[in-house]
Amino acid sequence: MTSIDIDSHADIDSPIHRWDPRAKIASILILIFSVVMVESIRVALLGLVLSLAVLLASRLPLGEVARRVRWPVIFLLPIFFILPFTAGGERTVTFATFDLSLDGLLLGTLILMRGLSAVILAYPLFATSPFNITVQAMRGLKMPEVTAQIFLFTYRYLFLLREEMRSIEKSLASKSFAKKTDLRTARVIGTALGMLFVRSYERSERIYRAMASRGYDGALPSTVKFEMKRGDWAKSFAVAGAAVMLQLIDFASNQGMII
Amino acid sequence: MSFSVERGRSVALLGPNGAGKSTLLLHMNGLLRGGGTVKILGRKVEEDNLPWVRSRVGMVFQDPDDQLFMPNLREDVAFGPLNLGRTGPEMERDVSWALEAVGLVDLEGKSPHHLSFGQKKRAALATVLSMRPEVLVMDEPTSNLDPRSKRAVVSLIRGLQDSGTTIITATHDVNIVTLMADEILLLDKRVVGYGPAREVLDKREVLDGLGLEVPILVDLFHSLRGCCDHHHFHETPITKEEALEGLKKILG
Repeated sequence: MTSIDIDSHADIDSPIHRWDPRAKIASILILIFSVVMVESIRVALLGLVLSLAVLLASRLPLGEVARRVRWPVIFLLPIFFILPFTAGGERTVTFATFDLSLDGLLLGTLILMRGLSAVILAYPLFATSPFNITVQAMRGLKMPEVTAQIFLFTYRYLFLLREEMRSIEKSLASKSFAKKTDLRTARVIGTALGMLFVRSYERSERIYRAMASRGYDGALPSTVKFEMKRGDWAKSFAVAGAAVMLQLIDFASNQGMII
Repeated sequence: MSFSVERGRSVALLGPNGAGKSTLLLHMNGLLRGGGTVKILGRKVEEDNLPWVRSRVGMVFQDPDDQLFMPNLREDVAFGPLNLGRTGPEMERDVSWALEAVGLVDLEGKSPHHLSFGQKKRAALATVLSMRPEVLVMDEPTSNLDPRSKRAVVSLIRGLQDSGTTIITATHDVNIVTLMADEILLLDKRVVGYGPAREVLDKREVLDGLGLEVPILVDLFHSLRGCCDHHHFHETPITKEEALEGLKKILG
């Protein structure tokens, strides 16, 4: 799976892949919202376990997901390390010569777990259907038409942009251009990106003409049809139900009803 | 410029770069509008009847990546028929026929970025064929294709013409013009010549003047005429069969 090739695992056979994409998007989004809203660290841990369970059910290659998850985690880690020093509070732990805030440590762990769960769930959400099906499903969930078309065309032409950039890079290399940390490199790369932008603009005009010549009037027709089956309803209730349960447990935990 | 194309004929637009071939083609689909008048099947192209014009005139663009904008081939081929209001079995039939006509049935679920250039060219043609246009306008449909793909496109064009489609093709490839066009319109920002393919291709000085290539058979027989005065050809051969007959005459 390259950085923009998110369709590469869309043909795996798994319960998540077989799930009606509309129900899958709605249910997993509810679970993501639920997980990121929990306030108890133990419930957040439960949310993380649930996210991992959905990921395992999707049969996506775990090693690859782990490699990709590390980038968002790198952004979350500073919060985890900084909060114990800055959060304050009465409960402290002395480590070497520092007084670490226990509340800060717990808050950092909570944020880290919530973020990690959401990022993990993004993979079963987006990598288990071809991207166009995901967008069509989002249209089915009343995503605005213009936004859906922007997604579809961006995905389609991102590959072409990548090819054009590669061809510019080859052309530069064939003329003995080597990237360095200097002003000339910045200027050359800037010019290349500018050229790519102008080409893309011109291409967008040609694409619009091609669309208009085939009767395009603002709406993008589709042959994709969805049908909810009994299994889809069952999976949706299970995942959305788990999301609601997380919130209930979190509420009970915060109210001191459960320890 | 003024010219008319008879219904059911295949016309090639020949001209150097910048002669206005692509611009002229865009006028035929109402994508560009100028001061003059364009009539399609007897009706003037106007703002009000653009949907009608575009349902009758299918346009194949030069760069297939401009034409293949949907996420997969089948969706792309279905785009035109769906916009024309065709649904259900009628749409399915047109889409399957178009994919079969260009030999891409097996690749219907593929994304355009997974197709080779030749496949993309044929796919672009299929996206228009599925609309069952009465007039097919193509900009360089055989450029950058390998010989086998070129032959397939030429044979497809001839087949469409046989079934009554009017075909207008802009091309640089003079050697395949004879295989797919009845008439040639020579263009250099104005109409330089228009007539049966044989007559236009025989005007060597006009072709040379426009910086165009002379077809290899025409070139050969012009040279033979120079060296074999006693052999008279009523007409310069433009097809392989005619050339064979001509050579047989020369060789006795």
